Amino acid sequence: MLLVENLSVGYGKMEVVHGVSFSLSRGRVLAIVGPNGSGKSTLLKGIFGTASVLGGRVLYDGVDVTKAPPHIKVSLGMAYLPQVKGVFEELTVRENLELALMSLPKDEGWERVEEVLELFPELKGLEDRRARTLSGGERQMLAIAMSMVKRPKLLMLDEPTAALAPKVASALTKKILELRGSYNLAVILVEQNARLALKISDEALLMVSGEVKYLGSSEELLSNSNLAKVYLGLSRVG
Amino acid sequence: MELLLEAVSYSGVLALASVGLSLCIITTKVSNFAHADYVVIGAYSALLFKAFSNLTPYLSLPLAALVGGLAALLSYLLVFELLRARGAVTLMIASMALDLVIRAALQLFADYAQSSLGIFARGFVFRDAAVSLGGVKLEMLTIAAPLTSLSLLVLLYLLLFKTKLGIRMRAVAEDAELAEILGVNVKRTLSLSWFISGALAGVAGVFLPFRFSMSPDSGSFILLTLFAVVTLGGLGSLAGTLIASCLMGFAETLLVYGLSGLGVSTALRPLFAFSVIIFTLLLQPRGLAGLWSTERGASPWAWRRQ
Repeated sequence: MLLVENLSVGYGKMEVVHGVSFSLSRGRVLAIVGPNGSGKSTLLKGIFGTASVLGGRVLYDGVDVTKAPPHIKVSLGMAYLPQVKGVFEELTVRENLELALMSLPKDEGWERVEEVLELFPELKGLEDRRARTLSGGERQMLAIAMSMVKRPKLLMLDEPTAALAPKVASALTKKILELRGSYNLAVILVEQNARLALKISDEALLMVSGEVKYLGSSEELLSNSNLAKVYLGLSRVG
Repeated sequence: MELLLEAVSYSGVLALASVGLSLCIITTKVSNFAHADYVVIGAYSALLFKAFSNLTPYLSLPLAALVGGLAALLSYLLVFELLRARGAVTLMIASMALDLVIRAALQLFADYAQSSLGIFARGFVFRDAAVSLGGVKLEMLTIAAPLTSLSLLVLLYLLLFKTKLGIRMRAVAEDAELAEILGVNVKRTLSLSWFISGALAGVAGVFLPFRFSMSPDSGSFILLTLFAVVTLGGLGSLAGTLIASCLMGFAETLLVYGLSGLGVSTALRPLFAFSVIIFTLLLQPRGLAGLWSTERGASPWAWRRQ
């Protein structure tokens, strides 16, 4: 479904990610892990089109989308949740969801919102509240709900659990797995919390200094004490 | 009574022009020095309409809105969209240059209109018609300007807060990158915001020649007042801008009346707008919006503490 070939990404002319290749099928979760500044988020931005692609290509369902602008990628079924901010603070929860379903016909759109609210019961009753008044966990739930409204086939999440309490982070990852199961979603998860990411993912891509150090099963990476210890700081695996 | 109506109508005109400027600041983060030129373009559209149709300039409101809107749209597409990623200072400098270019174009147009079309296009004014309302004779402007302003501002409110398009515009204003990530066509949305801001300015331009003589460079004195309004309201606050329009409209009208009564030249009028800008920046830098802003800043759309 997603094929990334020899992708180099950067900002302006500065290359941050160097020739990364991988593929991902529907229903699979890929965790991208690595130390700070290794280019994980930049890789995601390159795939989605919010950072400059300096080489290589991205194929989505067989179509070359390397140069396609983000709104075209969204219409094709790709969704991306950025690291810093995934909701509009000045809009209400309902308006945020409405915005996410903007291009759909009105009737179908409302059905989708109802459907998403069923998936995220935490948001029920909060529809008229401004997003700036929500807790960190509620905001992330809303951000993921917004990504899900258009029923994407590929969901790319950039550190969705950052700054969340462990309990909330755990609930959020559980939700991501639920969504993967219900929608047969392909999920790319960039996480600083490597242990959490590797536990819930099928495949792992370890990045160091913008290059791929490991690509394979998450289980294997977790059990590879050398890589896990040196690059991820996971001294005791389990 | 006459003075009060005068102040109300002037406030309405100011509100139309400055809300457009505020919209540019909120959506594109550009303090557009060329904004007053869209007002002047609206005035010239009304002049041409009157010259060719012999009808009252009030009927030129749709035309002035269209021409003002198109001027702002072109400014956005040809200048600000290309420089959008370069930051607020670059955009502001570009807008200063654009202001000079538009003024030069208006000078050329005024020359052409005067020499080839025989239209008196420098220092022109419109003569107003009187209407009788309940036995009281009123100038048409004192009814048309407030009613038009109120209607358009209500429509703008409905557009921003009750339509999908408004949600999109507010989202792009808050975070264009995130809006794009969610599939919003940011360029199209900003184009529309600019068209609306220019259209409002164009409409304001139809009313001004009923009170002031208009020339290609009239934008310079209008601009100072508009910046005084948006500074007093709080840069980037729509609600603050509306309140400040009323305050400035009343204050300037009373000032001119007072100066005339004292036999002092009304040419001192710009000094008032200048003083408002300086004192606001010194005493209340966040303007009126600072009164209801929280520690995280004022929402551009809010009118009270949230």
